Formats: sequence, structure tokens, C-alpha cells
Amino acid sequence: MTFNSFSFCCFFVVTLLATWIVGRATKAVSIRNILLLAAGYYFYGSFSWSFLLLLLYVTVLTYGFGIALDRHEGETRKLLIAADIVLTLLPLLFYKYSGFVLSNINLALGSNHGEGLGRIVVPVGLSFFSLQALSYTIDIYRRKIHATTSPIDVALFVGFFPTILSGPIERGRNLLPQIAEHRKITVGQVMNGMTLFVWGVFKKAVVADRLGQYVDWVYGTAEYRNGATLAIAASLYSFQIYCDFSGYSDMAIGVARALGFDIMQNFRFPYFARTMKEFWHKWHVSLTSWFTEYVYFPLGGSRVKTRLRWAFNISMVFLLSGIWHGAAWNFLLWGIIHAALYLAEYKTGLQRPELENRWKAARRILVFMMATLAWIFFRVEDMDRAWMIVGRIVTNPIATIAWGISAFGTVTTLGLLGVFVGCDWLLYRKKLSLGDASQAFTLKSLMLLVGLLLGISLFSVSSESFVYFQF
Amino acid sequence: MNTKPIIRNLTIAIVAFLALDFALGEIAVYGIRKFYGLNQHSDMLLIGHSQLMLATDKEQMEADLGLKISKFCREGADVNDRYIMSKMFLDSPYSDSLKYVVYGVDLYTFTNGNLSINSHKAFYPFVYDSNIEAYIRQHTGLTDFYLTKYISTYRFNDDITKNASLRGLRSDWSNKNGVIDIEAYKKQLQDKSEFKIQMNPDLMKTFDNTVRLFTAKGVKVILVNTPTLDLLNANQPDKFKEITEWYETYARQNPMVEYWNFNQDYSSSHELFFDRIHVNVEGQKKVSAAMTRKFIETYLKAQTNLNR
Repeated sequence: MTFNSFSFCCFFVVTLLATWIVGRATKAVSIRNILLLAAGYYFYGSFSWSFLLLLLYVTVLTYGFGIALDRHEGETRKLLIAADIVLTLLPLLFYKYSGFVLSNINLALGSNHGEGLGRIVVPVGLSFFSLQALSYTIDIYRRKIHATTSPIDVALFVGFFPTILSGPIERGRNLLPQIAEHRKITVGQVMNGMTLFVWGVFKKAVVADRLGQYVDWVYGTAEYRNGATLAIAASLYSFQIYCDFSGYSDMAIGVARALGFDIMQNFRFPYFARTMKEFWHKWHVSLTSWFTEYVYFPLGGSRVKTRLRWAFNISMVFLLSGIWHGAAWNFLLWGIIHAALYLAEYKTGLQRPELENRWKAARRILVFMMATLAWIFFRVEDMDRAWMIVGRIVTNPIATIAWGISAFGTVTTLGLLGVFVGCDWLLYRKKLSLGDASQAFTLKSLMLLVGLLLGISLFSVSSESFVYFQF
Repeated sequence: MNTKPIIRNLTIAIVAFLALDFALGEIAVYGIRKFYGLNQHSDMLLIGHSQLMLATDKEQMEADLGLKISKFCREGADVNDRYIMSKMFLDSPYSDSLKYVVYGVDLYTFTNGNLSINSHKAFYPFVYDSNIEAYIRQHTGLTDFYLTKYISTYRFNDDITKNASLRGLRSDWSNKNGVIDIEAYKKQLQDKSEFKIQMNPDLMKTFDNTVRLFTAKGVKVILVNTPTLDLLNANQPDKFKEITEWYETYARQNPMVEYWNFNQDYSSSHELFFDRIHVNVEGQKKVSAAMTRKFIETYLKAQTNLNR
């Protein structure tokens, strides 16, 4: 069941009510946590009951290695964390990357071994909860936190249903203390959570899915489209992926908030960034910060002897981020492009603090254009086709734009995109707020909710999958 | 916590939602009924999908024939949809004046699944009609059904219905501009094959049932084969001949049914086509004028002769 489905709404209402009743009946947190764990397993199992075994496997590893890390020192500790990382990532490597690796070996050697591996279904959410689990054990290894002795709490952390499918990728040090304490569910919190959830549905089902119809049409017939149409489609894809993913994150955060949990923000208005560096502080924050904390810093970060080594460290983060998104060369190329843009921006001095407030609009447009260029390779798996699209955009940028299957539909979508960008700008400038439970019942918040619900009723697209599910 | 302002604000919000939903829904349904001519006592009903929709200038035909015309043509409406559309119109109080039905036919009338998927969604605005309600219930899940029944704006979730409603409110029945790129279409024909013309017996049965709905009430049925591009017609020549002959035989066997095929006159005039199956503004003028002439010859002159 996906978030924007009736079955999820029923499931959530039941879970929320049960959690609230349990919370009022007893201060024993363990009962609430068992309830949420059961709900989470039911939710995850609704995709495939066999995936639950995988979740259980990662949970057992995380709990066991967490306890073991807390009790050992020296070389044993190092071995333990290494073993945990390898064993936790093993399913991810197998399900997601084995087909890709094997197909490339076959290509190089002219063989055709293990063809079936390429058709393995990747368990939904595997990329997310694997990293979430590792954040806990690595933090224990680094002595940032102690191991949690409650297996229920650890299981709930790993399989926390609001975030299990597509993040945000939480940290043990943020979520586990909340799991361990008795948290009251207030009406204001529930209302605020639901408003954020509905905003997420609006972004996903109205803006992203509608943009997807035009983008899919253009990219599906790219060989017949001119540069101007391809440029428009590329730009709209930038908004599509933003609304799709941030919309889903908002739904996850909203659901968690209604249940009494504060989850980290995953998107902080990335298209208002003035540099690529700032962009990466605002885009998919939970993943970027994960790679920064657990890859970039251990490699030395910026505290290295040479600029070359620093450039290598930066590049590793982007390459891993690219390949994390998908087992295909285009995702790797996407990562390489971002690494190149980041380093080029540094080299040209555009990241200097003194430039922060200068030429803001022009710099925002430049960042958007660079991100859009990279997204072409992210979206179009066939690299020849992607290069063809880029080539046409560059050589034929001014031409008659194709309106798509339905000009009315496209115009409506552009109008809704305008409404969304306007609301996002107001949120960015803090003229509008979705984060304050005390404001949940003001007339302004409630009328915003009414507007969003009417918008979803009139303009949403159904039967469209979430873009990020396969990561 | 002071609950009075919360209750007050919640009440205002709920009332605002219900009122806006109802109001928007009523305005939208008025627009769509006006667009399709479902709120008037008409002499002629046009039933079809986008081909007939774009080939007929309803306003010009009304002026030339002195008849009131309802143009109940909807993108992607297949034979099954048209059966329901016909039933809906005939069961309405506005059908008492109906004398003629123009039913759009083409190469793919009896081909399964090439027009659209989820076409039942375009019927959501008419859920107030018992035939439509049953049809929707048959084709959709419980959630969608009850959302459609109780939330007025949800009935216009699809862009086709919103567009029809807005055009009805603006009294806009205009056609598309543009001319088909013949070279691009020839390349397309080389790269990938066209839909196969089929003679699906279930669709043929439904078609026959639809015609009988009208003839049983003394309404004359005109099967209009709007022109399609000659390159498309020549793509499957045997099947093209088979289906054309089938329509001719069907009309011959039924005194209340006529078959008018405009392919011969217009299919090679590429400048009249927006794409391979739809005519453009110029094409619409020509086809509408031809239909008007044929209608006058077939029905109005005959009537005049009878009256003498």
C-alpha cells in the first residue's frame, strides 16, 4: 500500500487510534512500541511477505552487532563494525548490483553467465533501511551513542514504517531516544502532521504526477522533439523529481509527526540555492549527510594534505550517491557530473562566502540549470539518447514547443506548478508555516488544508508509482 | 486548551470545503452538460469519439439545418461507452424531441483496447444518472466510486471532463488547428506498425444493441464514417475493405439506418488532417458541409416531397 492510497489511510487511522489509546492507558512505552512495530511489519509485509525476512535479518544484525560493539574494544571492535557493514550491505549488493556487475563482466568477456540476476526484484526500501540501520551501529562504534538493549526499540528503529520505504534516512541518535520515551499524541500534532501529509500528497499526486505525464511523453518521443521542447521537459523533470521525492518525504514526516515523532527534514528548498554546494545542503539532506558523515569524514573530509585528496573525497561522495540511486551507468554519470560541477564551482571561486548575497537571482537560475542538465542523465537511462537530448537542447533551444497529448492538460499543469512554486516561496520566506503544531487549528492553516484537499480532488493523477521506490 | 476557537475554525473549514466542493461541482456539471448538449431538447444527437467530435461543426450545422443538435462526443469513447452514453441520453427528459442520431464509425470501431484505458472516468460527472452510476460501479473500486458519489469536485478529476466543462461554460466548440506532417507519419509507419483492424464480435453486438436503442424509439440512425488518412486506410487494405463493406451491409439491412462514408472524398486531401485520424479546422468545414448536404438530400428533401 502506498501512502496516497485509501488502504493506507485506513491503516494509519487504526494505527493512530490504537497508539493514542495505548498512550493514554499506560505510560509503558514498550507496549506502544510493540504496537508500532506490528503495524510497521504489516505495512512492509503488504508489499511482499518475503521481504519481511530481509527486514528481520537486518534488524537482528543491527541489534546483535550494536550490543557486541558496546562490549568490545580495540581490534575486535574494528572487526565487528567491518563485519556489520559487510553483512548489512550484502543483501543490497546482491539484489541491486549483482545483475549490473555481472552484465558488465559478460559484456567485457563476451559471455552470458547468470542472466537471471538482472531480473531480480529489489525489495522496496532496502537502500533506505540498510543505511538507516548502519547509522546506528557506526554511531555506537564511534561512541556517539550506546547500544539500545531493547530489541523492540531497535526493530522499530530499523523498520519504522513512515520512513522505511523512501526515507528520510534517520539516525539512531535522533530516533531511538524518541522511541524510548513516552510521547503524548496531541490533537494539534495530529492536525499539523495531517496538514503536512496532505501538502505532500498535493506535491506528489497533483504536481509531480501531472508533470510526469508531459515529461514521459516528450522523453518517450525524444527523437521527434526539438531542442526547445526537450529543454522544457528537462526543466519540468527537475520539478517533477523534486515534488515527487519531497512530497513523499513530507508525507512520511507528517505521518511520523501525527504519531508523536520528529523526523529530520529531507528537503530545504533546494532550487532556491545559490551554489551547488548550497544545493547539496538542501537536496535529499538525509542521504547527503549520511554519506558526508560516514564516508566523507572517515576519508579525511577537507582536513587532508592535498587539494587532490580533498577532490577525491568529494568525488567519492557523489559517485556513491549516484550509484546508490540505481545500478546503471547513467546514475554513475549523474554522480560524476555533480562532482565536476561542485569542484568547478569551488575552483572558480563561486562558493566564496563574500559572494553569498550578490547576483542571487542569476545564481539561483544557474544552479537550477546545472541541476537540470545533470537530471537528464538521471532520468534517461540510455546514454546515447541522453546525449542526443543534451545536444538538441544546446543546438536548437529556440523552436516551437510541443504542448503534449493535451494542451489543456499541459497548461493546467503549468498553472499548478506556478501555484506550488508560489507556496514553496512563501514557505521558504516563512510567510507560511507547516511545521508548527500550535498553528494547526488557525483559520489560515485550516483554509490552506481546504484548498489543498480541493486541489487534490480536482487535479490529482492516480495509478502512478512513486519515482523513488526502486532505490 | 481553549477548544471553542478550535471548534469554530474547524466548523468554518468543514462548511467551506463542503460549500466550495458543491458550488464548483454544480458549475462544472452545468458546463459539461452545456458542452455536450445534454440540457436541451435536441432534434439530432451526435455520438462518437474524438474523430466525430473534430469532424463536425455543431453550430454551423444547427444554422444550416435549422435543427437543435447535441454533440455528445468524447475523446476515447469506445463502443461500450457509447452504449451507456446513448442510454443516458434516451433516459433523460430531453430525448423526447430526438429524431436523428449520427453515430461515428471508423476503421477501429470494433478493435479492442486501442482508444483509451479507464474511459469510465470520463463518466464521473454524470454519476447522478442511474445508468452511469451502475456503469461506474462496475468499472471502478469502492474508494473511487464513493469519492465520485459524495465529492462533487472529484467527478471532474480527469482533464477531459474539466476541459469539456470549461469549454461548455465558454460556449467553445472550436476545432484544432494544424496540418499533419506526412513525411513524419510515413517514417512512423516504417518504424512501427499501426493498430490492427479487428472485428470483435462482442463490440459488434454492443454496437447493434446501441443502434436498436434508437430505432426502437423511431429515431433514424446515420453511421458516419469520418475520413481517415489514405495512408492509414491503405496500411491494411483487406481489413479496410472488410469493415467498410460490413457497415454498408448493416445499413442496407436496416431501413432506419444510413451509412455515409466520407473517406472517398477526403482521405487523400492531406491538408485537411490534423493527424492521421482527425481532421483540422478546414477539414471540419468540408466534412460538416458534406454531412449537411447529404442530410438535406436524404431527409429534408424527402420530407418536403412527402408534404407536397
